[in-house]
Amino acid sequence: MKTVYIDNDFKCYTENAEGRTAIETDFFDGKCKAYIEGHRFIPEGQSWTREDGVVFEGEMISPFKDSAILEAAQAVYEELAPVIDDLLVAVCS
Amino acid sequence: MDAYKITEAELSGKGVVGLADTPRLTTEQMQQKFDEIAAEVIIPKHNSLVDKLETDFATKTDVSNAVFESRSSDMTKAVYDTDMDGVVNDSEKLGGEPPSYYAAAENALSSYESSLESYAVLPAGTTIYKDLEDLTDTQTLADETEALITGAETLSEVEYTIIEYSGAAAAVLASEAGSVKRVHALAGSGDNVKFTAAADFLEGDGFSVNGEVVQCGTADGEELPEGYFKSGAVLVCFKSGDKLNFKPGGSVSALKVQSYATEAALLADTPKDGTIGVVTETPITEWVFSTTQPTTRQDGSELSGGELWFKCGISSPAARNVLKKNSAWVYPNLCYQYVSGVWISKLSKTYQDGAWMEWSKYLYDKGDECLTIGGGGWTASGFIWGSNDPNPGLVTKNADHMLIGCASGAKTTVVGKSALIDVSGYRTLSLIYDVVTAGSGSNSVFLNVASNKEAFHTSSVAMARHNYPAVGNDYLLTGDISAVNDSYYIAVSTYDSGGTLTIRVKEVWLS
Repeated sequence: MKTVYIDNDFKCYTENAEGRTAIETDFFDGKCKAYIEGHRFIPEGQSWTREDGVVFEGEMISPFKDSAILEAAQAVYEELAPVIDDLLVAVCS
Repeated sequence: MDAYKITEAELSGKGVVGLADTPRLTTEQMQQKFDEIAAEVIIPKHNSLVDKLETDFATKTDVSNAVFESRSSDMTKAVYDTDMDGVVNDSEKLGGEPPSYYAAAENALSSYESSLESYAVLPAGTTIYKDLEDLTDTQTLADETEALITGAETLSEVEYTIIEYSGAAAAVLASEAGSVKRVHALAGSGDNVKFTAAADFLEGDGFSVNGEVVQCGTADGEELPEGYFKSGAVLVCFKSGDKLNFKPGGSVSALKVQSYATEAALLADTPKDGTIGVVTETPITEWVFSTTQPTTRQDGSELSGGELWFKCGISSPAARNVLKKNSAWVYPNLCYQYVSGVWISKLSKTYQDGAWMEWSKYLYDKGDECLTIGGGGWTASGFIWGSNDPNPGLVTKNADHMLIGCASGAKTTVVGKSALIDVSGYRTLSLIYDVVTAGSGSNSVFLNVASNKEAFHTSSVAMARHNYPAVGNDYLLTGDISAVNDSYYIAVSTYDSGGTLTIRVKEVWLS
């Protein structure tokens, strides 16, 4: 379970700030910051209206940045995370 | 009408006037003499006049009908004599000419015989023109010929362009790019035009005045729509320069439906914006936008074949207003045609902003697994929530729905398309379902777009979810995929931590 923060437009952030609301979800488990902050999270009981007038009821999670870019960022993150871990272990040993 | 006046000559010698004081006639002869004027002069004249009135003159009802059919039923004094001075507004534009000066324009179109809606028999001697823009290039038919007057089919034997009937004051048929369309030919003088239509007005029809092609449209700048007038209707319009200005037609259809033999033919065409193209070789008889499957024709009669059903949803990339004025928005998602007793799915697209736009892409439609999309039908899998340990999914495919259940114990059933689906260009993923057995634990229904079909819940890039759905409702679950580009797996899943949530999946589609 991960805590993310959404603004008034339901856009997600990994860090809290004024005007943001904390949300608990497992959708972003293991996801990098770039991936999370490219998504919109509409909580249950709330709704969001897209620019073309279509209304989406929560709970709904969808990217507002190109999904291909977000997926690529996540893939790089997953590829580098073990390497970084190894480097950190080496540095600390 | 002078022929119906009773003249002095006709009365001369008839009746009792002029008889001698003692006529010396028998009783019978005297009675005849008294009746002579009535029987031999008045009654024949009167009957002859009645016959003439019945055959040559319109009744008040006839006039009312004609005015109504011409869509000019608001031609009342209140409209055309707004200052109530007894003079029709702008009548000075008649140029001081008496009405008889313009009489030649009346009935400028003669009637012609059209045996079928789509064909007309052209008599020998009919004038045929080569080009709408040049009415001087003509030829004459040697034999009686049947000509297509509607549709886009190409005439193979004789390439008709414009065909004129009955001399100068005639209805005319014309051809553009191989199809034959009508030109309504008017003859006469003056700018205040009144004529009786010799044929229905079809979209694309044109007009000529005294052999010169003129533009036509409504006073508010719109084109005349299909069915603007019917054969026999009395039309009134004003000729301004090279354009005939008609009264606006009101809330008429702004939609054109065009059939194509192949998808390639559809894609090669560049029709009028908003045209709906349907790939079918079965002639289209009528069409209807409806959320439910039609069971009869629109007049209540039995379906006979060729009818189109544009199945509508709550959204569509091809959403449009089908009225020219006012609004009636339709959201077409699928097209079916009634052929040989069943509704057959047909490819349909809308021509919009210079390109053919796809309608919604259905992935599942009430028993139809849409096998041509996503690598075949829907397959079930499952896992145990939290551990991702495999667990067989529970799914039953029925005639009009898929039954998805999940066993208790935090087990999940996932039913998804077998292969990746390119969702680029679509903006919304939708699911309609209802609940057969409500969950008793923590339970949800999911709609997922994921990159790994073995792990939908951990590889989803977009997801919509209903928690604790109840029995008795049809639920619509929608997800925004406007930023989802590329190919993904799409699945519906259920989860119940302590019970057996079971749902019926009815429709899944991209739009």
